[in-house]
Parts: sequence; structure tokens; C-alpha cells
Amino acid sequence: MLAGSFIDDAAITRVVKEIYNSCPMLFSTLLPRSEQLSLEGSLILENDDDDDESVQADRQHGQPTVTGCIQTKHCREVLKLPTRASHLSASFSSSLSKAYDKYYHMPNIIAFSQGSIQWSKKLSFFDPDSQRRQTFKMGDFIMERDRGNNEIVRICHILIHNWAGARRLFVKGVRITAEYLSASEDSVLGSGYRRLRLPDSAATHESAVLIGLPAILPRQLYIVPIAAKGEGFEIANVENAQEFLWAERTLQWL
Amino acid sequence: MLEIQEVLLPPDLQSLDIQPPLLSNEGLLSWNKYHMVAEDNIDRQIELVFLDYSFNDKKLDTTHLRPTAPTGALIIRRIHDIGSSPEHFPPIITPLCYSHPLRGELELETFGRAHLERFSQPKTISLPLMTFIDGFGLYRNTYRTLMGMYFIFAALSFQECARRANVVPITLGPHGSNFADVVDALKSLRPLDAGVEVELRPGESVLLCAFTMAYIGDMPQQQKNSGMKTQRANCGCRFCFIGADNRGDLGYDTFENGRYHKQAVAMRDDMEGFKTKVLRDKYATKWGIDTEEPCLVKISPALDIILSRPSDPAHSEYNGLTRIMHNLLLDTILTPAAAKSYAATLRSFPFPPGWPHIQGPLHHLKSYSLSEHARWSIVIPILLRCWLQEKHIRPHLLQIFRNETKNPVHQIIQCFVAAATSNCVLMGNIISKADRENIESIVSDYRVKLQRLLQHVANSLTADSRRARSHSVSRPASPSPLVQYETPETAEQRSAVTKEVAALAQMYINSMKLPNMHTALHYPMLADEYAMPANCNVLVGEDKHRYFKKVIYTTNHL
Repeated sequence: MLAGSFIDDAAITRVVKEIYNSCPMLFSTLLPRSEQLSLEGSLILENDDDDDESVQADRQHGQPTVTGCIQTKHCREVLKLPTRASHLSASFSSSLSKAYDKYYHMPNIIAFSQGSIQWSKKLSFFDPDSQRRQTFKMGDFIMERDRGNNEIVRICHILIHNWAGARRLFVKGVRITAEYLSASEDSVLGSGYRRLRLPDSAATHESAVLIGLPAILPRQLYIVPIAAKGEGFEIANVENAQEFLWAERTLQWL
Repeated sequence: MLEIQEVLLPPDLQSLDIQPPLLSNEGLLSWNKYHMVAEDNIDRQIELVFLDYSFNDKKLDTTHLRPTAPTGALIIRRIHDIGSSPEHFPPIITPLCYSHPLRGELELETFGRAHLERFSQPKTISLPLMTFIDGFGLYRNTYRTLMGMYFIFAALSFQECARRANVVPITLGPHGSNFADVVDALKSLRPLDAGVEVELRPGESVLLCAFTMAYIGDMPQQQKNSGMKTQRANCGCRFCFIGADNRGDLGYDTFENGRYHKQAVAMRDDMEGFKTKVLRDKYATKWGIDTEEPCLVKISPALDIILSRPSDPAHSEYNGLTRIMHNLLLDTILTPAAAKSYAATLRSFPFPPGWPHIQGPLHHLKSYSLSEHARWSIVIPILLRCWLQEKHIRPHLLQIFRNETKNPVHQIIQCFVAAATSNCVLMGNIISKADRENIESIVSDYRVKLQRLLQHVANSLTADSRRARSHSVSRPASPSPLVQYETPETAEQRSAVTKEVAALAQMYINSMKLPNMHTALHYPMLADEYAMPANCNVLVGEDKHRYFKKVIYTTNHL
């Protein structure tokens, strides 16, 4: 009933869903784990965690939220990130405008005279295809849905832009281009394993992009940070790593 | 829309020299010419067609009487294949017995034409099912198995199929009961297999056809389901006639030596024709046939007993070959110190997002679940690429590799990469076009590399006299070099230990001929039949077992 199997019995389905929303723990002993996970994503209307911020959803990204909101003062003074419209630099404003055009189909925005920005550590949304919630955090890699090629982006920051009566989610990250990916197969591991290299630190600032939530694919990527060592390489610290190894293939397990 | 396979008649084949010559009423079934035709465009049908599956079948007893063609029937007994290079080579003519019958053909044969015509009524609901059959124990410390039989709805999406709630238990056969008796109790499913009229809503009658399209399970159960001897028998493959000694041969011709439904049924008839049990047993042993008829025929009479019992890649790949790879790595590739270092590295190594870590391999490898083997197989190529160095490899094995290649480390890593690739192709939710086209070479390449590794390991064991001396006498089956017992040697002990190492080397040589090694040859065929081999995996059924094992403690069990 919770998954919507008995649409003919609308009244009782509604009652059961209301009970579930009020007291999800009641069902934890009745439902298997797989069912609980999918229902958590699709049915819970409000999250008790005060740290969470809900944002504008779309067909492929249900119930999107961000968690681990970063304090405004810390953003402004330590991370040097803008939190109000008046703090926006020209380049950031331009990138944001382009992102609104590309991902939310809102072209020709010249300036953001009002509004605020909330920076966070994690984002999550419900993926209707896999019936699972997908979570990404700063430092993770996401796959961006593009017209021709899906591109890989490393998340540097996660932000919600509260503007024009809506809260929209963006990811600020560094893009690894398709041209680079196609030529980066690991010589020993062969097909299915690619070496990724972030742009140099000087170029990182220039290659930073803003990606809107609608373009984020619900795909978790297995990417390991590496560093050169002699003829081979070794595992590196994820925060400082410039090079990564991506295993494209995956399989089913119980 | 109908998919029609073309039949070539004598006028089409005048340029060919066919032996024995074509009969005047004989046609050749084309393996290359298929047509999609709208139902309305069909003018008329050939009423009488006889498919002769016994023609030129060398496995069948020629003295046994077989059905013959009725008068005036079009006879099909051979297949016409233009091959991959029709411009350079003449067509290949193959006896029909080397082909699997169509599902519809078997249904028509079993239920008759009247049954087919019932489907013309306005509303028909088709509910294809995968039926999982497997024995399992409810308790960890009580070895009493139950026979679980569950329905899985085959038409659901991958995600929906994997939900425990969508696996429907049909029956649990009690411990000690005969499997045939359990199936007998399910005879009421037979009408559902053919189709029954039911009233789902008041006044609305529909023809409900809930049929098993395939039985899934692990290898021993599937052997039983298809009426064959166990996989350890001399002729213990239910898809072909390969002998136990040749199972390591990855170039074996599974087409010419394959088993086919009609042939299997005819061979069983031949066996039943023997007057004494001794002769029947002898015949059964020779061809790997179980003397008891497969009981599932009682509830699914129209199924192909060969193709509808697919192999389970989860068992053969995860619990079979991946486990061997892990054992090889720990016991024979890495030095004892490197094995400890490997275990420590694995403990902190990043896994794919959302994947739990696996137990420490040094002490818990034997209790790994299917899923732990699966997860390990994905992580290990990257771990080895980042960590493995020549100093970690046992010197004798390293030397053997050096004789063959400049970079032994890379060669070992590539063996594990091949394992991961093969596992992903066979057990992945998604398969790329290129992988699908190369499925045969991907799976075989892995086996070839593993066989080479096993051979090198066996050679290194016999060459390593120091290892032989330091081995434990008390652990003959699967001795681990990680625990070494230094004891004062006597001549008797030395001799015993040398024998033990020889036995270990022989064990690795024998692993090259495991049934799991051979089963790879049949995955491409199953991929053709079921779209992806992963569609026939049993993980969801095993998950249901896990549920029963958990909830048993909430019952008034004794």
C-alpha cells in the first residue's frame, strides 16, 4: 500500500501513508530493508533534522535536500564564499546566470539583485529509477548529464540559491572533459579503468563550473585518489589528490 | 507481428551438393533469413510440417523406432547456414538435431493447436515466472535442509525483481522429503502453465497464463532439474557431453557436442528401452543422465529441459572462481609478510560508495558470502595496481613469471582485472554493446589467464623445496603458508610434506578442470536466450532464504 500498489483503495492507502509519515519506525519491523530505503526517499515529507534544507525538485530528482549547512560567517571569512547577492563577484554572477539558463531554462538573467546563498557539505535526492536515495558530498565525483557526452565533475562546493521565490541547488566543481577521458585508459588495467587528472591549481579556478541539480546523474562513481610512486602509484589522500583512478564497471551483489 | 524463419526448398538449393540428397518434400531451415511479417499479410499456412530431430544424431540408438513423417508433410531435418563469409565459403548444412526447439513449438506439441487458438480471445494475461529452487538450512548449527521454491516475476524491472517482497514462496519442502514428492504436491500449477480462465473482476473473464519460463538455482540443483547426473560425474555438464578430463579445454566444440532438448528426451527413451537396470545404469553413466526422470516435467511439460535450466553466474563466478583467486593470492602468490600487509591495506582501502567493507581475508575467507566475493573482485584490481610490487611475490613464482614476461606484477594484476571484467559482464545490471558482442572472449580470456596462473602456481610449488620443508603436515586440504610450523625434521616427515605439497600442486592443476571453469562456454548461449546472464542469477532467491533464517527465531520453533 505504501508503494502505491492498491490505487483503487485510495482512502485506506492515504490513511496508511499518513500513519507512515507520522511514525515511520512503526513499519521498520514489517518492511524489509530494501522497501524501507525506497520509502524513505519517496514518502517522508519532512525531515526532522534541523540541519537539512529542502530545495526545488524535478522529475528525476525527488525530495532533494542538502545536509551539513556551513555557517555564513565561516563561508564569508574563512572559505571566502559569497552568501548574499551583494557579495557576488562578476565572474560568479556570470557563471550562475549561465547555470540558470542551461539547467533551469531561465535565460537572460543579467544580475541577482536579491537573494541569498546557503553553502552545504552534502546533497541527496530520491532517484525514481533505482528507487533509492543518492547522496553526494564535497570531494565526491558526479556525472553530469550533457547533450552528447556525460562528463565527470568533482564537487568542490554545494550551494542553494534562494532567489525569485525558489530554492535551487547547484554544485560548484571542476569538470574533467570528455576529450581527456577518452584518452585516459590505464595501461595496465585496460578498458574499464580510466586515469583522471584534475586541472592544475592555477587552472582549477578557471575550469570551475556550476552544475544545476537537473543535470546530476544518479550514479555513484568508484574513483580512487592516487599519487605517482616510482614506476607505479599508490593510494593518496583524497583531499590533496590531483590524480584519480576510475573503475567504470560494476556488478550486482546481495 | 510474426518473426518468420525462412525455409529453403529444393528449387532454391539446386547448386548445392547435399549428402544425403534432398528428398522431394524436404526443406532446409535457414539460420540467416528471418522476416518480420504483420499478421494480416499472411496468406495461408503449410498445414503439415514434420521436424525430424533424430536425423543424423550420432548419440541416438539407430535401432530404436522414431516417429516418421506423415504422408504429404514437408520434412525439415537439416539447417542451412550461409556462415560468416558467404562470398568465400559454401553454406554449411547441419542436422536439425543440433538446434534448440522453439518455445512455441514445444507448447504446440504439448498442449495442441486448440490451446494456441484459445489465445485469440479478447483478454489474455501472460505472467512469465522464474522459479527458484534451492535447499537451505534455517539454522547455522543444525544441518537439516529445507527445499525452498519461490516465484520471481520475470516481467518486472531489474530493481523490482530484486525486491524481497516480489519473491513469492510457493512451498517449503520439509527436510528428508523426496524432491519428486514436493513437485507432485504442486501439480495444481500445471493448468496455470497452460492458461486458465479466471474472473479477476466481476463479469470480466480473462485467460491467465502464469508459466515458468526458466528454473533457476545452483549447479547441483539445476543438474537435477534437467535430469542429469551431478556436475562431478564424468559427463556432468547438462549443456554438452564434455568429459571430466577435458573440462579445462576452453576450445571445446559445444555446438557439435552440445545437448539439445529433443535429443535429451530421445536418449531417455533409449535408456528406458533397456530391459535391465544394469544396462540402464551403464547407459546413464556413459552419457551423464540421471536414471530418474526430471520431475519438473510434471508441472512444466512444455519447457526445453536444457535451455530452461540456466547456469547461475553468482555461484560459478563469485563463490567458485573468485574464491579460488583469493585463495591463490593469499596462499601462493604473496609471501607471508606480504599477505599480512595486503590484509592491512584492504582494511583501509576505499570501496565503491555505499558498499560495505568485507571481512579480513586472513581469518575469515572461508566464511565469505557470495556478495563479499563479488565486492572483493571489483576492488582487488585497483588495490593490486596501487600496492603490488615484485617484493610481495613469492620468489619461485616470480621467477616463473620472469621467464615468460618482463613485468610479472602487471601480468598478475591483469589476471585479476580479467576476473573483474568477466564478473561485471556476467553479473552487471547494464551491459554495453561492445561487451555483449565480446561476452564469449571476455569470459574465456579470464579462464585462460586463470588457468595459466594456476599452472604457474603449481609449478612454483613443486620448485619451492624450502616451502615444502616448512609446510604443516597436519593441514592437507588447504594449507595456508601464513602459519608455518618449524619442527625438527625426520625422513618420514620430509617425505610426508613433499607429498603434501605435491598434492597441493595437483589440487591447483585439478582446479583448471572445474565445472565452473567449463560452464563459461555456455554463457553466450544463455545471454542469447535470457538477454543477460545476470537475469538468471539467484541472489534474490538467496536473499529470501536469509529472510527465513532471520524470522525463524520469532516463531514458536523447537
